[in-house]
Amino acid sequence: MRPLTSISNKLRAESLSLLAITLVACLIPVIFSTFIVNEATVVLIAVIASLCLQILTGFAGQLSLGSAALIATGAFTVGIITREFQNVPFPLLILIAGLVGGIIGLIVGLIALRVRGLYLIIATLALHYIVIFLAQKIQQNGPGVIGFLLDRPKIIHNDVRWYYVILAIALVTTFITAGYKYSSTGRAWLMTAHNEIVAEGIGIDTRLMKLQAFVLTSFITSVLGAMYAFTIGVVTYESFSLNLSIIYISIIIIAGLGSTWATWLGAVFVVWLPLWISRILATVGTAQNASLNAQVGVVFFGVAIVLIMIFIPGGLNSILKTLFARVRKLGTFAKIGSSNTSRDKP
Amino acid sequence: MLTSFVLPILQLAGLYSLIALAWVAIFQATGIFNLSVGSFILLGPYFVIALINTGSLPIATAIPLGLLASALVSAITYKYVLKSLAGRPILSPIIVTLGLSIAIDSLIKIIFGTESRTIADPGALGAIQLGDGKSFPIVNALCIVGSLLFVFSVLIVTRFTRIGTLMRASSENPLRAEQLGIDIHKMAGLGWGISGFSAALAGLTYSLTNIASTELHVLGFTGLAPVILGGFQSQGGAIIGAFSIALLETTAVRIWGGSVREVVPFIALLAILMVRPQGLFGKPTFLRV
Repeated sequence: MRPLTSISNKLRAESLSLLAITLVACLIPVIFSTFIVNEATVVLIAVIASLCLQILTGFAGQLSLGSAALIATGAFTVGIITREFQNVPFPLLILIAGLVGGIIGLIVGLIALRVRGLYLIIATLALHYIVIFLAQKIQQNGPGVIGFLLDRPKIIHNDVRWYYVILAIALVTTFITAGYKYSSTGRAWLMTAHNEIVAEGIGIDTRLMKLQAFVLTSFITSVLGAMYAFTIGVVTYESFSLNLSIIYISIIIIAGLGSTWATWLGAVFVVWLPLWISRILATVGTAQNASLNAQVGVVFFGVAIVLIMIFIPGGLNSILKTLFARVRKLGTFAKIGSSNTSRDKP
Repeated sequence: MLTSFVLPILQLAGLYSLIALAWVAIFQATGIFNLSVGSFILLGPYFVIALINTGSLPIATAIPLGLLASALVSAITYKYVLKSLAGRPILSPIIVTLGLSIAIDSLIKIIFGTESRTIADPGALGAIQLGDGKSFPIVNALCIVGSLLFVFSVLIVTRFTRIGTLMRASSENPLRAEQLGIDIHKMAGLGWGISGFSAALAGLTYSLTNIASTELHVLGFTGLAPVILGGFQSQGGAIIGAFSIALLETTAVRIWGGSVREVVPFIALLAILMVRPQGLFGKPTFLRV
């Protein structure tokens, strides 16, 4: 019965952390201005994309640089449909974007059955440039340099309301990720990532597991792409550079591979901290140029990745884990101490 | 035919062989998939620009100094950053090189700005008159000669000299090489240095014939196609790959126009990975329990 209790313990810790994160995230629009809320929306988008990568890379062990291309797929699907057809209901738009992404995911999954590890990274890298090239062609033949213009539905047009919509998606994605982590599918993914031959030996269909991981995460990432398109209101192929994929990979590495709620902290660290640093630089007045300040934030981020990889290979998750373990140890020591004193009494 | 087809292919092949060598040298020396090759491509032209502008050196001395400085930065990166990651899972060094690449790119943008620059006027040295009434700039010709000369001399050095044998030994079997008294970290640093030099030279030849901008970074990824075609472990294969991809790209541009230029190497890359992932001269990898 030991593993079960430990899993339920883990689930409890996970739910508590999620509850705390939800509370903080819900309070952001109450405390901060709309400007900050819009930044927080971008952070949430990074959270969702990184959680998908956690499933794909952290659980199923498939390395991919394809996030940006999938987000572009979702965004362009929405852009093209709203341009060609009038009055398509919003939920249908998002669903179609997800399905198109799922199909792309299936293709990448089939590629992943053929190549592994390093070669899969290179294949997804090539796919990124091919998808962006196609997007560029579509944009040139359609709206041109302006890009596809999009408008949110009236009910969620307000920035703060939009923030809550994205927050809801982020929370659902987190629950899906956490749920998979402790399910039989999640364990099958971990086994596939760990050792494919042994996984086959104990009856796991690794091909199916890989395809499942790719289709699921591509669906969510593409839905996210559609939401991203509505967040910025305009879809151009320049918005989806490889840097986006690189940022998401950095987030899951900094958070710790296979972690769920630490991914939120990773996203805040990678996406939001550089923005705050450049803001602080701007108030201090060391440099007048806004883009220069932003670049300083990016340098900080690059150096931080290198340092974290060298000195804390487990990422933020491992720091927090040891911290929690230490707190728990203190707790048990206190208990033992008190019981000892009671026994010592004559 | 000569100016519009053969010379562009030679020029592109020279560029691709340099970038491919930059990937292969590091992969051979340390087994690391170095994603910061794109940033080292930027280092070459920008070091030269800095030396010309602030050091007010003549271009003929600035170029070798800039290239050596890039090689040194690359070797130092290995010594102080990547060496400590030996024995970690393959994702760790990849992510570290990503972080490095982000930091180097942004530093260059902070120091030099994002607008594109020219190092020297491409027509400064004049042009060679060719038989069919067309001319070819001497700078381009020098770049072709320089890049092919460097790539082939590295190939010959690693094949036939003592130091090359030591390098090959330490990449083939690091443990045995170390037992035989070879300083494998020195050899690895040398590999990184060669890679840094090669990448910087690639960036420099491109900037001398076109323009220098931070967008050059993407060349690093474009240059992966010849690497994969030749097989990741083979320098000779990378050169053959470079010529093949250059031929393919130039032909495709002639047929479909200049807009397909950026995407052809990537389509080729994907096709090679599907048909023969280990490339023409690579060893297939096996899964072990």
